Amino acid sequence: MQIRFFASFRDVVGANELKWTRPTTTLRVLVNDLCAQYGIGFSRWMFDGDEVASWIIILVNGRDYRDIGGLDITLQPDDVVCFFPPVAGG
Amino acid sequence: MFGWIGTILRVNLTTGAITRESLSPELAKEFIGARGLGAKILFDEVDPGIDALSPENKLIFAPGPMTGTFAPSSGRYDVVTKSPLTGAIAASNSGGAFGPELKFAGYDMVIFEGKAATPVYLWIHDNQVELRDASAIWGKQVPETTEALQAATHEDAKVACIGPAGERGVLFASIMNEMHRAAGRSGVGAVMGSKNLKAFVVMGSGAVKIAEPETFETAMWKARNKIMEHPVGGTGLKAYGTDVLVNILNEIGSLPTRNFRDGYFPTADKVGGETLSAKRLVRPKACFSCVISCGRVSQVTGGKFAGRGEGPEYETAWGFGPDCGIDNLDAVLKANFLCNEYGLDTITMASTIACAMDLFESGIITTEDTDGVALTFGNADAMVEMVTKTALREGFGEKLALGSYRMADSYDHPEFSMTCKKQEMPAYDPRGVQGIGLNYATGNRGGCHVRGYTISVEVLGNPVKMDKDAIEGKAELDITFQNLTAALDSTGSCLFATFGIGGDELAEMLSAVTGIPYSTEDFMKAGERVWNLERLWNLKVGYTSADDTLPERLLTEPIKTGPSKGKVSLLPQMLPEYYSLRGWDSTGIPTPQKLEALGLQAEAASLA
Repeated sequence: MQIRFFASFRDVVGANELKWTRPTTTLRVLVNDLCAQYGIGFSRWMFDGDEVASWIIILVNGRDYRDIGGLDITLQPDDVVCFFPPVAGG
Repeated sequence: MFGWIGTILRVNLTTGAITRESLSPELAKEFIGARGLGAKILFDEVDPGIDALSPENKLIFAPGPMTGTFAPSSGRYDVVTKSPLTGAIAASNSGGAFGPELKFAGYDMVIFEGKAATPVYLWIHDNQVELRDASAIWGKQVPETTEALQAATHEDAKVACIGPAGERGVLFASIMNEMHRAAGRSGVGAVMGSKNLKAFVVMGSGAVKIAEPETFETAMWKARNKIMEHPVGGTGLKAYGTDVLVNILNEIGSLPTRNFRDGYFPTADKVGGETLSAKRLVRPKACFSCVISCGRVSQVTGGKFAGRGEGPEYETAWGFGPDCGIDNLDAVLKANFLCNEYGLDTITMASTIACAMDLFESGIITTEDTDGVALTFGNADAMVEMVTKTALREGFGEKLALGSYRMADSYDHPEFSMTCKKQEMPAYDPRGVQGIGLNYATGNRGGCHVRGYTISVEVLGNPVKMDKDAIEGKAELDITFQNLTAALDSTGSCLFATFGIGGDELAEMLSAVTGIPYSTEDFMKAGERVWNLERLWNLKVGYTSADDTLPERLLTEPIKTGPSKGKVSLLPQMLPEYYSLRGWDSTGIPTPQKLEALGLQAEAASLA
């Protein structure tokens, strides 16, 4: 699975993208694994209380996870997952 | 009055007469200020059938009642006029500190009429108002003009001016204040140039009176804290600027690429906000009373694209980048700096070059048309060269200066122009984000994202998330955002404040500033009133429902690659619901009942 990081997540992870080979069943598992691996620098933006914050954008193959089933969607080995911290523009 | 100063200044450039008028409290309450009040004055005073570049057009500078207060991100003013690019109503707003300074000098609005016989500038220092000769600075670029006029008046004076592009009537010339902030869209700078008005310089020593200071202080801090505590307004925009959107739009497959031929650009990251911050950012910069600081001071220290200035915003990075097939950040920055120095709208400039590249690659124009330049997608040197040619109307720049629609139409291929109502669309492909396409098509000033920024909901999930590919609920979303933005613009506030606050907080602050109790419903209704008034103006110009559309390419040619591959805009399925929810008939004309409910009976009568 290919994971791409953007904005401040790149500083936290130390990479723009990486190949994720650990067995991962759902997006929820991936989010928790990433938080465990990269610590507070990653998780501080990720959660609002116990929920993934509304301002976090996670794309699975270009689709926002909220539009395709939420955190419990099943991930496939050839998926591309993108993580964006709180950003905006216009 | 509170919030409003109560004074309108009218400057007749033909006669030199300068008069003061009282601002009607009734009109102020109904249309708020800035964009709304400017639209009302234009509607009442200017025949929609005139030539936009004739002396009969008027050029209205208007801050809002919250401009100059400490309401967060409230330092904006609007320029309202008839657009030479679209023929429709133009309302272009800008930040910085010019708007607040105009309030401090004691004015809610300055209306320029007629045409000066020779170049002039207006100098306002509180009650002292005079037209001065500008012959010596005519022809100069924006930075030189600004510095010369500060030397001639006061080093702390705020200068709004045009550059060579506005003087030469480039149809998308901007008005620049404090060198780097732009009232950019719709060609307001060309109107200023047509009046031989080189600049407007202001300095004020007054203040904005607040009706309920303690209530305002509480509401203002509540709003400020909401913005600062929100991760987007508090940190995200300051760190990366708006250019951070490049990667988001690219990863969803909705980054218009090579004149909207595609929606995905593989090397987009090279011109994104992350790269800009890492390699070319000098520091962030904020406008008056702003807690966000999305502005960028940037620099290219060496090489053929060396320069320093402000920007790029997302739209600019997209336009001179992926839309032209270019991933050279330094070239993007150089084109941005040149636009600011010459006084050009970056969105229309970039999109017009992209359109020319498309015509060139399609064999419709050749090097014989383009002064020998191979105007291919990805040619960064040619892109930068074309900016200067346009500003000076040299060679092929004479065509580019018309904007993409008139340029492409002159070669019998208007379908290559990515415009709505002849104004170029910005950086979100409507095939991959359905609601923004409806907003472009119905926009009162043509293709524009900041009239109803549905991207916030459809892509960013702020304050809620809707599926970008769905059409259900998008008409209602567009209308809500269009009305809210019309009201917000009319207060003199920045759209980005809405990344942390909404109609509730804005109405609360406006009430405390003015002493007039605006409920959230009153506030939104004022926005709806402004939107409908602008619509009536455009109907009087001659626009019809047939103009509420998108370029054929976006309706029939699917995106070719990337995550949105295969998608087209579903605009025809959304438009009827939009009209219905607006209270308009099936041909897009506001019904008498709707206009009566908004208090626009008199304006409706003028339509008959």
